[in-house]
Amino acid sequence: MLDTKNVLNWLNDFADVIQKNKTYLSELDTPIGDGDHGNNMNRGVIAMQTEFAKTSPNTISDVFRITAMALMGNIGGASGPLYGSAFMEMAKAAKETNELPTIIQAGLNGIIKRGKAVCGEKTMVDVWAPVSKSLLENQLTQQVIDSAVESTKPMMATKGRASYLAQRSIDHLDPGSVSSGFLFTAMLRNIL
Amino acid sequence: MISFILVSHSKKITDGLKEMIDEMALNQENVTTFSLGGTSDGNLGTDPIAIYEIIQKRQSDEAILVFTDIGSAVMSSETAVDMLDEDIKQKVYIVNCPLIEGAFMAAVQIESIDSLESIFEELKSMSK
Repeated sequence: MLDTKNVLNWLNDFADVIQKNKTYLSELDTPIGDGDHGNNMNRGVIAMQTEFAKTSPNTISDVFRITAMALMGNIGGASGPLYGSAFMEMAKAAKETNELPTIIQAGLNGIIKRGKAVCGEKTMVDVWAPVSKSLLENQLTQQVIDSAVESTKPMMATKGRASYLAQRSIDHLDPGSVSSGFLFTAMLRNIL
Repeated sequence: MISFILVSHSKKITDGLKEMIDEMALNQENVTTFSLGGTSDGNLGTDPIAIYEIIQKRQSDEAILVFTDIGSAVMSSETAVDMLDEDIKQKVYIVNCPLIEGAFMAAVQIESIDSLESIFEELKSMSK
């Protein structure tokens, strides 16, 4: 069950993992993107933590809304509107429920609406969709997250910057999927 | 009054385009141009919050046209529009055309809000 405290713990844990893996994420983004995913995400999560400290949100919905605004306003790349739309939809859903599966499903729908991607296009949808499905079936494990992230490696990108590379995008992990994997690993650690 | 919001990863691009429109497009007395390239801290990137805030400020305009180039410029603009109230949303148009050519041509041709439809029609043929 979600409460303000464990949601804040989850997102602060996610921020720590992003900061530790900043260079790794940018390295993943170098062959198939513009090499900035780590730095962009890092700017976003630092802004998010600053806002948490400044505003001390006291509802789950407020935590997600602050996260959405901080990520949108500070990431700079496509991950900004994508993560931002996810957390904005999660903030809306959290006004009605504190059931995690419903909230994550709302986040997934936000990403799909914004990026217009479907599964198999080597985007963060390839992690969010299986995680959301497993959560609804009450079967989310670390294994589900890891294999979803890994599944993006052999895919050919057909959405986003990597799609300009067509065949050359194969054999690389999708950076947005890796950072999404970090988000859900932190969720497992702090909430489930 | 009509606002043009120019969105690119690069502030140099939107600053340059704003300069071109402000100095070379002769019919732009009723157009105000905003350069929204780059992030708030001066890096390459786009910022949905900055786009949202400009639209909010200009909400009494007759129309607000958003011109974008590649990648997250489009997604950030769509995100900003999604955050608006319905009555403001109605007068915001994310125009599907090449940023530089499209915004420049629209600034030259625009005379009033009544000319918007015919301009959009023409811009469609330059779609990116």
